Amino acid sequence: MDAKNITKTVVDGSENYSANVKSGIYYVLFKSRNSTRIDKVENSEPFKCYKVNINEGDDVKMSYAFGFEYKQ
Amino acid sequence: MKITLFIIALILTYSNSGFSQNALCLKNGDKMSGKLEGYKNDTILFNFQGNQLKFKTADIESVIFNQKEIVVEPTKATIPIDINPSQMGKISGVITCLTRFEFQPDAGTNVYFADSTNLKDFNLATLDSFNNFIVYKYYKKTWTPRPINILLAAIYDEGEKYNLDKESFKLLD
Repeated sequence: MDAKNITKTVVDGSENYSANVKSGIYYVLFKSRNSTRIDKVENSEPFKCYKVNINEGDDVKMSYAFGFEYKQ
Repeated sequence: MKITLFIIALILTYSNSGFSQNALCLKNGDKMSGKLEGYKNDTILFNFQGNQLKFKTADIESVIFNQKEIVVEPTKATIPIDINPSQMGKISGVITCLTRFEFQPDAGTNVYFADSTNLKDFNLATLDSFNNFIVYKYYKKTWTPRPINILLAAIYDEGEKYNLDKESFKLLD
């Protein structure tokens, strides 16, 4: 991905993140730091990507729990 | 006299701008440049690129007040500020991480937003397949029997929170 076209934010210690972006269709990538995980052996920075449509005035809620992946 | 006043005003201006930036260093290695806005109930409020973030003191390595000492990883991009706020949308959420027995805040997780119009060749399905392969490989190697009732209870509760398909979790028991 071209860094020039990417907006980045960071999840805070209360597990929340938020950002204001102009309307459009976005790829949203969560890249975990796994800071609280005990059993980090490999895949220490798992990730998850979604495609989401954000319109003017929308308040989109998108949450993810790393560790659920095995259900897929 | 005017010159003296001008110099004092100049010094005050530069000293104010110097103190307006703080750096927050987290224990996971992340550094953020922004403004420290307060401290409440063992939580620090930090303004990063216009977003007020909350950090527990246990997750913080240090706070640097002197702008000259700040060495921060360059921001990949800035949130567009040349647009009327009413023309913008908001996205927010909760990111957690499953430890052995419970879900914890995954503090420091990076969240990237990329406009799809600039990524014509990007294939989400390929990325998902790659992700699934890594995750499958990871759990195949590390998933061992644990106090399964506690774990499933945590997953079930979290499933309620995120409206996940609980039927697939029941099959795990």
